Amino acid sequence: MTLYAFNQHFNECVGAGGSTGNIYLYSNTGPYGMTWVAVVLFGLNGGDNGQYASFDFTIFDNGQSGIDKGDFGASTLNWIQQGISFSGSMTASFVQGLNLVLDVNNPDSASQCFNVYVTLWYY
Amino acid sequence: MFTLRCGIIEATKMRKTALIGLAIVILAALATGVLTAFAQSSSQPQSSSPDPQPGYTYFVVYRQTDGFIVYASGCPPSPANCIQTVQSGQSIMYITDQPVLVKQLFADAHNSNLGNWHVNLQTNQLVTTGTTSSASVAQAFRVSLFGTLLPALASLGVAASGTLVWRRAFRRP
Repeated sequence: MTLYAFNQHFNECVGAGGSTGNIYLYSNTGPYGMTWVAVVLFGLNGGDNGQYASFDFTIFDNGQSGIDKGDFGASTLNWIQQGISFSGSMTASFVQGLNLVLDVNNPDSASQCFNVYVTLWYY
Repeated sequence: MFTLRCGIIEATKMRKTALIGLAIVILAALATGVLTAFAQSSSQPQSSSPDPQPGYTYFVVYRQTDGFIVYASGCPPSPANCIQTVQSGQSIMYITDQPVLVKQLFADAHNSNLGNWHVNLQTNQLVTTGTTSSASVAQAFRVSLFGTLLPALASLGVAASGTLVWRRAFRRP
């Protein structure tokens, strides 16, 4: 098993009532033909003590018609508390490279920043 | 002679008591000031933001109609990509080469004040309409100035004048 990315940190600040749409955190990442393990972590970064928001991580393979190979998140709106992180793991075999996409939705009247951490392995 | 010696002993005791009292007043003023400053600063929103971070790419996605910032992103270096599929009616502006701007914007965003910023569609520049976090620093300094330093200085003044009065009163002829 090869470690590809360790605990990479992304800072996503979403405006009031905004949504990031699909952010490709990793796009068609090689090598091809591997099984990838993605460990993701999501939480608040500053701002309110609790935030009504949703987030969704998906992994998919262009070599397999782009269908979702893994999904993690609270894709419906949920309360996310300060200091509490949501973490999950997704594993799938890929024909081509790994795509890891994040979508965050913030319906609040105030903006909010979010911490995102990603660790990737392949074998 | 006995009366004079008793008077000197009494005066020494009074002096010690007065000095201890003044020390207590100064310490109490300092403690009150520090506690007040701490309480006021802890009630402020968090303002620390590590951005800009070395090797990161920073950009904002904004609405083409009014310059409203939909979101701002700090993306780590390779192997991360952070490729954005910009939605219809939105544009992307990279600000990595403007570290001062990145610092101010993300400090504000960190305090739920991303709404203070927008893209001026005429000049195509990222601008702020609100008070940036540098104001919080000034405010914090003002809190500590009025909450700690001034009471302490006032106490020192009282102590100094008290000592002068005491010395004059008990000065040997």
